[in-house]
Amino acid sequence: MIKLIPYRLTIWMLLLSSLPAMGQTLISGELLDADRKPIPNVSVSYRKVGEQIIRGYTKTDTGGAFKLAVKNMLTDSLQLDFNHLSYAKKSVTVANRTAAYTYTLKAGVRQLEEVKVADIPIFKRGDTINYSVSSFTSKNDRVIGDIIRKLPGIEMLGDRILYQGTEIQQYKVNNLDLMEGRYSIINKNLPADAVKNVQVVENDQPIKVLDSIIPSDKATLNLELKKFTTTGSGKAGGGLSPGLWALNLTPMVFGKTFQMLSSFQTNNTGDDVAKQLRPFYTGKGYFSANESMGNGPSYISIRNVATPGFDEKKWLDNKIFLFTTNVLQKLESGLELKGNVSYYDDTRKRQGFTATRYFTADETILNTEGVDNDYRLNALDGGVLMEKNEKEIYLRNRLLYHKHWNRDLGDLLFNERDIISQRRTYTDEALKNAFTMARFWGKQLVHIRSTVEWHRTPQRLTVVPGQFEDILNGGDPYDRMEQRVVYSGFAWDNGLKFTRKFGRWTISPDIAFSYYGSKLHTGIDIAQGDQVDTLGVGYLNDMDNDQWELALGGYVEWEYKKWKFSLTTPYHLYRYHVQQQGVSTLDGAIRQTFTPSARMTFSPRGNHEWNVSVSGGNQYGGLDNFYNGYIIGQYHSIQRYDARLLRTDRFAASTGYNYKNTLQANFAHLYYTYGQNERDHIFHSSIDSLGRSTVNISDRSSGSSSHNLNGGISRFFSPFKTVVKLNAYAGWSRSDYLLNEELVKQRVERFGGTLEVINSLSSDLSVEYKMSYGHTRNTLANSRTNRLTSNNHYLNLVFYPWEKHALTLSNAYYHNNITGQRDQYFLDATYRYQLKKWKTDLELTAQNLLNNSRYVQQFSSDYELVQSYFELRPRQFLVSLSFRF
Amino acid sequence: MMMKSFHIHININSILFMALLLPQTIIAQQKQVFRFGLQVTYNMSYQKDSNDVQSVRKLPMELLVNDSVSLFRSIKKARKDSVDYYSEKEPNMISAPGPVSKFEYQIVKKKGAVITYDPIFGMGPDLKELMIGVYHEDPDFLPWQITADTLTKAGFLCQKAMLDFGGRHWTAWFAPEIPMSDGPYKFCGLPGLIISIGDTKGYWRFELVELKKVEREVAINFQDWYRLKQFSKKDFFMERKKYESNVFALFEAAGLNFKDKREIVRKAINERILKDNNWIELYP
Repeated sequence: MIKLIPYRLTIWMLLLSSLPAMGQTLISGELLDADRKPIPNVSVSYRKVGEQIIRGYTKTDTGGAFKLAVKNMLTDSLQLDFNHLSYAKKSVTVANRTAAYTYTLKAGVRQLEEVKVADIPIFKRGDTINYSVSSFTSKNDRVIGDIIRKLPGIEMLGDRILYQGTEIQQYKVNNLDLMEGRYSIINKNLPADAVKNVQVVENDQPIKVLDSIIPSDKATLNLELKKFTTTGSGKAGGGLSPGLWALNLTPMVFGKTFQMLSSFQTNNTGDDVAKQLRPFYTGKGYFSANESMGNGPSYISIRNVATPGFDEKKWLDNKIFLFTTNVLQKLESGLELKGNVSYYDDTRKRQGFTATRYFTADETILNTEGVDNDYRLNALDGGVLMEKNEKEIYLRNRLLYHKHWNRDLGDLLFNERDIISQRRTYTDEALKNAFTMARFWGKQLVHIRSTVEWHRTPQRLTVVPGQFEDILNGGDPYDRMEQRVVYSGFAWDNGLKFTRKFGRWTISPDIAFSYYGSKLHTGIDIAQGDQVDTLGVGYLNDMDNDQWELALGGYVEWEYKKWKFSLTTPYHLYRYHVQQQGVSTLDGAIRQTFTPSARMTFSPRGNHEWNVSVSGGNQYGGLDNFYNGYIIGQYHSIQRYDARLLRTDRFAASTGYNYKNTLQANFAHLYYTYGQNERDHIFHSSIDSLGRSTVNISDRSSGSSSHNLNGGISRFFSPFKTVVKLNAYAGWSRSDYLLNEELVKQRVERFGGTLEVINSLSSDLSVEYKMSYGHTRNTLANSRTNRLTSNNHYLNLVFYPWEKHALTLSNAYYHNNITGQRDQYFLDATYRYQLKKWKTDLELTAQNLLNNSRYVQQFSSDYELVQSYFELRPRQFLVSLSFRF
Repeated sequence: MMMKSFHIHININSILFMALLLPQTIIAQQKQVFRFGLQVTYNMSYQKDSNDVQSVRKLPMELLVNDSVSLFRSIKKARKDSVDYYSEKEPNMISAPGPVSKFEYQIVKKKGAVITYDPIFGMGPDLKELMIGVYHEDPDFLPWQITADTLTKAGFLCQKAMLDFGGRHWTAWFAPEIPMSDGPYKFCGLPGLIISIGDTKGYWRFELVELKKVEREVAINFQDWYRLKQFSKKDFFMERKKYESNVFALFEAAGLNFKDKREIVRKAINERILKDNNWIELYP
């Protein structure tokens, strides 16, 4: 057929040579396979014979037919090309004239040359996401925290960083974790322009031994700096009234193997900068062994007044000086050494007024207390850390030391008549060492931990004039009473844990062996004039306690598709020994506890989740409250307890349901919890006519139970760009209390709710409104009831009048049912402006514009109703400049 | 007899009731499995913010081809899907609000239709696709104009073709010697594989990186939480835009609480959405 073409062509050339070959010709045809079946989807193109450029193209339809409109071709013949992946290539030459053809294509897979032009670019190395800081920096950003806040996937709750809704497990700079969880100090002070990339390593397993064996769903944040450098930032501000200051100077060094951060900060503006020293995480990932160290027990306190439940900066009257320095050195062997020291000195004032009603079986006692307190807090903290994190082994040892010494002074006006002065000193000195090691033996992960902790905690309370005359001084008034307490404690904890996965099961048994020893020495002095008497037996404690503990635990988890089930079965065996003034009051007493808990979650569809959990078991009170000599806890309360182990049997159950539909912005949850406690004892309070309480323990069984229900719904109304959230709760509880020899049941019913409306319709203005309502009804002895009602409204407005300017107005309105109490209204304002040229921010804050001096609140406990006034920071104005270097 | 018809009546009513409650266009989940013999990898570069040259990003994409169907998607999506498919893994992280990712789409080209499957509203807070929007386009929708210009690219003699599509002017270079009328994104219909294509303003560009023979079985739309919904193309883009402008409020309604940083976060998210202004197809 093809051979015929030149012949035909010549004929056509002869026939048409006189016609201009312009205009349009239509070449149509049909393509068939060897079985004469039409072939669809074949690319048909044409070109000038001998040329490479395609002039036009089409495709065959389902019937294998094609039509090619050939335009503007000043040529007599055309080459047609037929292309299909599953057929051999075919080219034919036809005359440039309207005609129809039929061709057959031979089956045959096209052998394509493989091509590789370049390597595929790495967009995400492993699980690391790189955020280039420069592309996220806007003119408003100063420190790295301003950038991190904006990164996709990252949110900040206060100073805490969350990635995809979960807390980050580490915060590093150049892959080194200098601050061990105290990262907010870097976040707030490292200039953004020193950082090249913020990296988020998803699913990061920070412990190399566990890498690719135990999955982690947590993320690590790393700051990759532009160069090894010395940098930092600062702030200076002042205001009125009284005279206000705020200063901050934070230099840092980030070298190749050495890092350092120091900071000096001081203010009296209500900013508790000591919070920057609190870690957001301790330890590392899977082995976040207990590396935190709290304070030793405090037995005494001065009378305080309840602090308001809103922003601390509105009421905290402080004067703080803080210094910290932190260093890190990485050795060539891979060993990391870290050290840190910090110190702060904080002076706080707190003033208020409390009216307390005590409801005893036959009378109601009303006491009023005017409180004027001065607190001085001193804290010195230091630590050394060594860590080896290798493929074969994980080793970590951390040594911590602290000394905290506080001095509190309290002047109290009792019932607007008696002036009582209190002085408390409290010191806690502590040392702790925590060791962790982990490695694999076969498929079994073996984890060993050992911690040693020591505390020495002397404390002293002096009250003038002396109280509790009946108990302490035969009913005669006296000048001064003094409670002395020295506590020392030692704890040694060792554990061994195995973890293994079998398909859908994870099984993790563990064994632990611990020792706790403590010594408690207390005594009471009463003074009249120059004469000081130390009270004898019954008023002193000279205790020597120890407790051995063996713990066997099991954890089993099963997970399959929509179901997840977990069970923990901790069993503990205790051996107690207590010596009071040389006499054994408890000698080798053995107790066992078993506190299993189980939880099941079922998520039938992505939008719904349902869970049930049950837990129960018995517990024994520790030895810290084991004293039978009186201890004055506060000017108005004194207690002693029995030398007896207190048993509590608990049972709790809960069930909940969650629904979420993000698309339609409907969310709902409903939870119910039930709790029940049975005790073989009851705390027995005696209140005298002045409201002074004496507490001891009585051998009567007692119990409590509670039901709680809470639920919420929220919805987004898109035409108004408004979110409405509604939450509500209701609860019923019953509990026994023993007051002045009478066993009474207390019943509490409470219900309430909140309504929130958040509007974002305009980009220049944002509006947030919240209302809360709460009602509590307390029924006590003789069906005496009291009711508390509160209803608060909050309105927050933010304006962005121009670029670089922002104005915030916060309104709060408080209403409660305290008779004679007027409703209260608070107003604050903040204005921010940026000085672009000087790389500095200017901020003007006006707080408490209406100059309200007091905040009033009320709450109730077992047998008392408390109404309290709290003195707030007065109206104040502050101007501040923030800079970096 | 009366009773029976009464029952029937009830049943029809309840069926009607359900049918009215459920949106008509929700399509039953449609898992599809394909076998492909050829993988073409393109490097896609794009400028996220038309006002910011610094915002250029790169993403590798793949075109999988057999003799009747092709599938185009990002390699990131492909990897994620294959892990999920073989391990039935469910996401266990939580997402934060922001612009909808524009690269989760899968484009299936076959005779008679170019079908786009795209999580129209991105991921929910639980990292699961909220809804897969589906829209069909006619494969002859691309009014290519081929020119006589040629250039050798990636070792192939390529010819230039031009196209107005999605509010942009595109220039493509195709290789007639590779007998596939396919290319990256929705681009197809030329007599040869597209080796490179970019818009004339230089915001979007696809360059061939690799062409290799593979044996791949690929499943799409297999996740049990997938809800597919048919859209017209115009509605798809409008709904997505509407969702993005409300995304902060939606997540807030979902219970994310930003406390005193709320305004900062809201501004940052709005800024990010504002900067994500250079979608591959521009629709007013």
